[in-house]
Amino acid sequence: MPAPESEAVSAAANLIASSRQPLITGLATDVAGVKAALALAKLSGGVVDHGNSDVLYRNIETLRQSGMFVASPAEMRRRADRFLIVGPNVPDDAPDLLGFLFGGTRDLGRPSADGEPRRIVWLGGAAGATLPSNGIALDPVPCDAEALTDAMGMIRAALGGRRFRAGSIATETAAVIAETLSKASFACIVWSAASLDAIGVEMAAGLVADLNAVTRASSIALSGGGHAWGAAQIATSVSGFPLRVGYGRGEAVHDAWGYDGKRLIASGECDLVVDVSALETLAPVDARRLPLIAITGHDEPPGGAKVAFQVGIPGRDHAGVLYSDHAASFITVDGVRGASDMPTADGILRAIAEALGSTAAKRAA
Amino acid sequence: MLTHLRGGHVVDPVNGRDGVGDVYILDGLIVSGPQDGRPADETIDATGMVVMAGAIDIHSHIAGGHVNTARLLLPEYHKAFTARPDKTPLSKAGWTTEETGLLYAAMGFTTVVEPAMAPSAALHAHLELADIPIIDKATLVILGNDDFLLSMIRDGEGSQAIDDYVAQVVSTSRALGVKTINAGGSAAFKDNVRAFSFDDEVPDYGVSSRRIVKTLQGAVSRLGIAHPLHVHCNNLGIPGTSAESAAVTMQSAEGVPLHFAHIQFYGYGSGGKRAFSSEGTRLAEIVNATPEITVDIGQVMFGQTVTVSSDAMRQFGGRAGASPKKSVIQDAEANGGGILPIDYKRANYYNALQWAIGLELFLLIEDPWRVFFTTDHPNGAPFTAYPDVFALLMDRNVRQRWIEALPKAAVKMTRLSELTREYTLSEIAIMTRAAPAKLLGLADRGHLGEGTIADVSLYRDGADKTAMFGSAAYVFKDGHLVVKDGDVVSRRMGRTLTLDTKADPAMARRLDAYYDEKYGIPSRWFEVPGDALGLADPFKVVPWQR
Repeated sequence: MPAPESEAVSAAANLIASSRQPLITGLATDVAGVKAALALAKLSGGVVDHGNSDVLYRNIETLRQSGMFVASPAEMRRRADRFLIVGPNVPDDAPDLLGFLFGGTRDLGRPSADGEPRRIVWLGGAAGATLPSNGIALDPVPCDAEALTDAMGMIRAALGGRRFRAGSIATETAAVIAETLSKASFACIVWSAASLDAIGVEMAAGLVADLNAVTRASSIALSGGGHAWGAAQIATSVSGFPLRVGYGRGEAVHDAWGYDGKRLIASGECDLVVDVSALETLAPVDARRLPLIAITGHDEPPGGAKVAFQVGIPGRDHAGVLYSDHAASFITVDGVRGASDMPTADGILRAIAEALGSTAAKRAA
Repeated sequence: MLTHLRGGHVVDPVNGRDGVGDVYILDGLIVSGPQDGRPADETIDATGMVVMAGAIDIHSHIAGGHVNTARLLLPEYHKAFTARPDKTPLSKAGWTTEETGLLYAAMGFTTVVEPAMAPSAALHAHLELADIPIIDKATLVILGNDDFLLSMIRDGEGSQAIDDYVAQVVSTSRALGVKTINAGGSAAFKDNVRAFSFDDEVPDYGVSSRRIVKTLQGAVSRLGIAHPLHVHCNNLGIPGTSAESAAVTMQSAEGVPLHFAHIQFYGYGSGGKRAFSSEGTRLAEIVNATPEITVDIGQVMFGQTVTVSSDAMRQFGGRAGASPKKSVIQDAEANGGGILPIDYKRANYYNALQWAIGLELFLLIEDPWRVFFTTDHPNGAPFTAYPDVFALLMDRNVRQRWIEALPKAAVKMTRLSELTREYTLSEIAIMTRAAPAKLLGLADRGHLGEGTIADVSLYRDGADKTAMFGSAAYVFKDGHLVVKDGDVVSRRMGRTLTLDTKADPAMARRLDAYYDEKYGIPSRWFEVPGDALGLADPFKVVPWQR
């Protein structure tokens, strides 16, 4: 419903003010947008979560339960001599990452212990899919998506010299992969949590830890699209927690199950959804039948929104700061379309917060 | 606006003040008294209070990727995670950016230095600093495991090129100084080297740790960066080897300033039946005899905490001691790093002796201008443990009570019981105000002389130093009242102090080409544009006096 922005802002603030438990989600936005969303959640006593947090949390749970080895892609590009790509989703999640990773010249580190050249093993890639291997030897190893955890367990068992039975891949294949990785000077394992369940991520992280007993190894763990990892990083420094936080008691309370945004929508425990969907890498959140405030950078605004705001996309319509899987940190991006007068998600969220603040002040008076 | 702080015990060693007197604040600056007889707009009765400049922490890990990974790794220590917040020491740790500013301010600290910013993660560090309220911040940028510098040294490049590189990194990352962390050790670790000492060479480069430290020391000195090269030595925490590494690195200063970080973690010998003994006396004697060096302590206090370090090799080596048993080890373009939780237990021989070694160093190093107050937050303890450390330094009876609670075997291995020294208020003001300002090259703070910024802390004097320093009666930041009776009353933003070191523009072009050719990445990823931080006025540029 197109409306003058100030009216829409007031309408959104009124909806939030009348809500028992608003959910601020999506969070497919830049750092300024994430910070503004957190501030709005705090002000409104709402819950804040990312639209893709079910995938994100597979990595987060493993990281905080047992730890991880993590690497920056730029260093791996120059140093790693053995790569294990796990599952079919890496090329979709980070379209340019593998081309970058394999695209340079290995000029750091010792020769591989077996004297063989660089090698990529792709475990469970989609049938017929290819990787931009840039001339590096590529061994595709077919494996069903749901059997990846099992396959990695076999590789770990082979690496540790433990007995194991044939499973989703042949025992000999598992032994060869283990051998190939253990002869690395520096092995790099890349996965997307979109391809794995939580145990699969733990198995992948465990494989990296095991490899470090004999050589060097690390991992690049992708957490799905929509700036999920970046939003979690910012939420962690601002609130202490990687999202799934409720501000109902005024301060940040973290409950990875209780404040799972998708669960709150499905169960109807929240009564209003604010969806921030200002990046192309994440579809808008499905608010089901709940009232929706949509802040969207997609060309097609979602149907059924009570209030909708069309905003720019950082890196396309305006400048901003985003976490980059390539950089393994935050980077600045420019608006390449030139000067755009489209509002930003950050600006809309702050305007709503300001209106909400004055609404609350009026009610108190 | 003229504020009159009346009748407090003013402790301002730089200006020779240690007695009852007045302090005046006019429009954010200290003035000597009311001009042309105008009355004060506001008078605060400071009777019974100690008045000092705002405190300055030179080494506290408060922002950036590794700190945030520690937050991610340890959600259980955040107060909101647990129903029993008081039972978990880190619940008070200032775990979020906001709490960091509020808790530091409540203790009368007004400037804090994040000492370990990777050039590749500078923007992340500054994004977090931008959310820390009240206090001024600054960073030290890490060099010494980066391919560019190691290659330059290997290839015998001249000091002009080295200086241009260091100047370029300091200015683009918006740092105030330079730190080196296990110089060469992280690079060697990526080649699976698991122990690395001062005269060992980094594979791939054939460059020793000593050459890296001396190269950076020379560059920092020639560039006129006020803060000396900040050194985290090799072999941190390893009994015997650590003390040797610190000793040999200190002796390499050769008359040029060097700062040594958290030397408590190097004060470990391998004597006694547990092969863990104190080398506190030895290190203190070296410091006392080497006037060009300064140190901070990294005091250990008991309780759960987490170690956050860009020394990837050491953190990897320490994984077996992690408690709870989990860790994150990062490999990156240069240092990488590691995050390990640790629970220092009073009843544990090793932890008790670590605690004692830190205090031995504090008490045996004679010159308060050259020893700095840190717990290496959060590595030895969260910064919220500072008030207890003040009490331990200022009151030998407090120390004795703590010593009596330690394992007897540990007490036998430390000289701490025989050390009767008690820090005076004036020495505390030197160590936490005047000396840090001098060490960092911040002429505008650290004392209460005319024209300095009005960062002022007032404490209710009392025998209980923990209570006194834990909760300031009043704190002014740039002349604004920000804390009253230990509570924050205003959340205005401070700024991040930076040094705009100029480099030959050819170096920027060379780095553009280098990052593109070697790593396939743009050099702008290493830059921190002021307008990316969401603040109107994020930086205060410190004059660069070359």
